[in-house]
Amino acid sequence: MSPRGSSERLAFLRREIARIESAGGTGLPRHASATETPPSRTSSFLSVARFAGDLHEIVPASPPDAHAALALALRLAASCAREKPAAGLVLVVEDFVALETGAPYGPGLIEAGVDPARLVIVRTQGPRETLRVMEEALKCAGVAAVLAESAIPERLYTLDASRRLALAARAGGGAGFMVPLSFAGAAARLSSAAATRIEAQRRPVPPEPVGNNRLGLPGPPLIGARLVKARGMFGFDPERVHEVAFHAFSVHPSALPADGPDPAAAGFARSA
Amino acid sequence: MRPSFETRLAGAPRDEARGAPASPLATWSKIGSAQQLVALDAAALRAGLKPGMALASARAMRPELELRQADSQAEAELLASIADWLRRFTPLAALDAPDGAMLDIEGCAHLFGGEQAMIAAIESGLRAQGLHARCAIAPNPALAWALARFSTTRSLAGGDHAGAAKILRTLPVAALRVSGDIVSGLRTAGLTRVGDLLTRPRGPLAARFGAGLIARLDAIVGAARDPISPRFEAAPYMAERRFAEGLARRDDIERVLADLAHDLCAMLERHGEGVRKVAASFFRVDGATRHIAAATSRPQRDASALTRLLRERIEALGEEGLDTGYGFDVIRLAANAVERMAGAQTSELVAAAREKDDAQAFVDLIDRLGARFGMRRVQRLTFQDTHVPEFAGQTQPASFSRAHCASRAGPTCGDRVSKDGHALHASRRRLTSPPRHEGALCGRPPRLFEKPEPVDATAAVPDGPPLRFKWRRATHEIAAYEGPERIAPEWWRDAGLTRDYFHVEDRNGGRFWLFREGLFGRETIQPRWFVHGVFG
Repeated sequence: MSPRGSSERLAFLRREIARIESAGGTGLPRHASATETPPSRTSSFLSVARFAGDLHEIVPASPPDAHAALALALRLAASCAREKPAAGLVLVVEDFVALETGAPYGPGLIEAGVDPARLVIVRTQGPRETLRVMEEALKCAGVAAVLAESAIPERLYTLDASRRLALAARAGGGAGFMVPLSFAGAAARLSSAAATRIEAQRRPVPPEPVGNNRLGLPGPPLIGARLVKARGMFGFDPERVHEVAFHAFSVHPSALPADGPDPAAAGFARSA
Repeated sequence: MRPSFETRLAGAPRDEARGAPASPLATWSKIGSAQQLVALDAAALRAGLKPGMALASARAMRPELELRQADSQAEAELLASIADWLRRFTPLAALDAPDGAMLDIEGCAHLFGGEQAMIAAIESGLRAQGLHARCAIAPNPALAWALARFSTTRSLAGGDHAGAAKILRTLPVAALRVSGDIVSGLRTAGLTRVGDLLTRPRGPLAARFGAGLIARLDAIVGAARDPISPRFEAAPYMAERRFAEGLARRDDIERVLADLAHDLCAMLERHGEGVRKVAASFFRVDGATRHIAAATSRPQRDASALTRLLRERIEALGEEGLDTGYGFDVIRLAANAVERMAGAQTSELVAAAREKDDAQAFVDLIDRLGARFGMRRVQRLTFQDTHVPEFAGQTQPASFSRAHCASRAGPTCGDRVSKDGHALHASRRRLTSPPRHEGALCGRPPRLFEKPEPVDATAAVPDGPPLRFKWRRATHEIAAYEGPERIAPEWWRDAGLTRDYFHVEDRNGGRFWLFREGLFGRETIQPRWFVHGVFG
C-alpha cells in the first residue's frame, strides 16, 4: 500500500472511531481528561490535566509558523506551571534556535503568563544537550513543565529518545513540551513516543478599525491548532483545526487564587 | 608573627645526577638591544658567569656554555603550577616571582612532622619533579626570602630573637631585596652586611638611599608587616584526605568526595552556615593539580546534594575526566563562599508541605544543571528600570541570584501608545498590575533578537507606519498595526537615536515588533527599520 493509501486508510479509521464514539462509545476506558473535562472538545484536548506527566509535541505547520508553535507551547507550559504553584518551569533554548527565532525576553514572557520567579532558562549548544537537559529536568518532581525548542534532526529524535523523555516525565510528574522546529510541516510523518502532537499555524485576525489608524489595530493573537496525535483520546478529528486565542491570561499569574483552578485563566477561550 | 616558608627554585642538576661532568647552562633574553644572561645553573655560577652579563662576553669566557632562550610565559606557568602543588601543605601559597614561592605555614608544620620534616618533604617532592629547591622557614616573609638565598640556616623559630639577630648581622645587604643600585651604593659606602645598617642611624640612610631601604630593614627584622598574596584565598571551611598511595579509580575518588562533603557539612552545621561555592582540589602524586568548582543557588549543607553536584562536574569533564594519572594522594574539599543558613525547626519539618519539597527539588535541579552544563548556561530573568527594550529584560546565571523566588514583583516598562495610535507618554507602570481586559493587545514579544535585524520597510510617509517590509528574503504585507511607541534614548548614557516601535501583523497572521530608528528630519534624513522581536 502506498504511503498515501496508508494515510487515507488511517483517516478512514479515525472517522469510523469518531462515529462509534459519538454513537455511545465502545465501552473502553477513555483518557481521564476526555471524560472529566468540561465544556467543549477543544478545551478537553488543551486541558492542562492532560499534559501533566507526559511528553507532548508542538510542531509548526510550516517554517514561518515556528513562532506560533513556540507561543502555543509557551502558553501551555505556563498553564501547567500555574497548576503546581511551587514548582518551576524550565525553558530549554538552543543557541542556534535563539539566533533564528530570538532569545526569550522577560517582559514578553510575563505577558504570556510566565512567572519569572519560577522560570529557569537553559541555553544549550545543540540537540543532544537539549535532550539531556530535558530528561534531567523532567525527572525532577519540582518541575511543572519543561519546554524545549530545538532544531533536532530526525536521526536524533528517535522513538528511543522520545520514549526516554516520556518516561522521565512520568517519573517526575511534569509536562514535557518539545517544539521540534526542524519537523515543520512534517507532523503527520513524525514518529515518536509523545502522548500528544499538535500542529500549530498562524491565523490572520481581522483588524479592529479604530480612529485614524488606516489599517486597523491587530486583533487578539490567534493560533490554529490541529491535533494530529492524542494517545488514549478517542473521537478527535485530525483534520480539524481549532482556533486558540490567548486573551484571557493574567500578566501576573502568581496573583491567581491558589484554592483552585480558574477556568478563565486556562486561556483557551475560543473554538472554531 | 606568622611563620613564612620560602622556596627558591632552580633547575635540577642535569648531568651531575648521572655522574657526568656538568656543562654550564644559562638562559638568555633580549633586553633592550642587548642580549643578556637571565638565569644560570650552579655550574655556570661556579664558572664565574653572572646574570645580566652580555651574551658575547659569556660565550667568550665559557665557549662550552649551553644557552637557551628564556621563555617568561612558560616560566610563569611553571611557577604557578608549583605554587598549586605547594597548596597541599597549606592553603595559603603565594607566587614569589620570578623564582620563588611563599607559604604561610602557621599551624601546618606539625601535620608533617615539624618544620625540618616539612622542608625535607617539600624539597624531595620538588626534586622528584626535576626541580632543585632551597627552602627556609622564618618568622616573616622577608627573612625567609633572605635565608633561602643567602644563608645556610634553614629554619628559624619564631621566638629565637638572639638567633635571628645573629643571622641578620651576617646576611649581605642584597638579602634586603633592594635594587642593584642601592646594593652597590651601600657597598661603596662600606656597608656590606645587614648588621652594618642596623647599627647606623636611620635618618641618613633614608636620606641617602630612600625610604624603601628602611621599609625593607623593618620587614626583615619583623618590625613592619610584609603580607603575602596567596594565589587562592583561604577557604572558610575545608576538609581533606591524604593517602599513602594515589587514588586512581573514579569510584574511590567519588567515595572520598562524599566523605569530605559529609565532614564539610558537619562543620557548616555547627556554625549555622551553608555553602554557596564549593571547590574540590585533587593533588596528583606527580605534582599536577586539578580543581573543580560548583556553585549553589542557595546556601546548602546537604552532603548528598554536594556530592551529586561534584559528580556532575566530574561527569562534565568528559572522556578525559580528572586525568588521574598515577593517582591523587591528596583530595581537598573547600567551601569557598558560605552564607548564614538557619537550621530547620522540628515544627517546620512537621509542617513541611509538598510545595516546599517541590521548590527544594527545583533548586537542586538548577544546581545540577549548572554543574553539568556550566553555570552561565542556566539562567534566570532579570529586569531593569529602563525603557530600552534590550536592557529592560536580561538574563543572568541562576546560581548568582540570591534566592529561588527572590521577587515576585515584576519589571517596569514604558506605557504603550493609546489605541488611536498617537504618541505615548513616558511614565512607567509595573507589570504586576491586574490582568488585562479582554481583547487587550500584547505589548512586548516573548522573543527578542539579541541584535535587531535590519529590514527594508516601505511607509507612505517617512514618519508614518510601515506598509510592507522585507525580512529574511520574504516580503510581508502589513494588514494591521499598532503604534508608534516612542522610546527616546537615555541622554545620561551614550545617546543613540529615538526609536518608534510598531506592533504589526502581516496578511498571513505573523506578528512582528518593528522599530524605526531616528526621527525623520530632526535626527536623520533616512531612518532605518529593524525587526526586534516576533510575537507568537
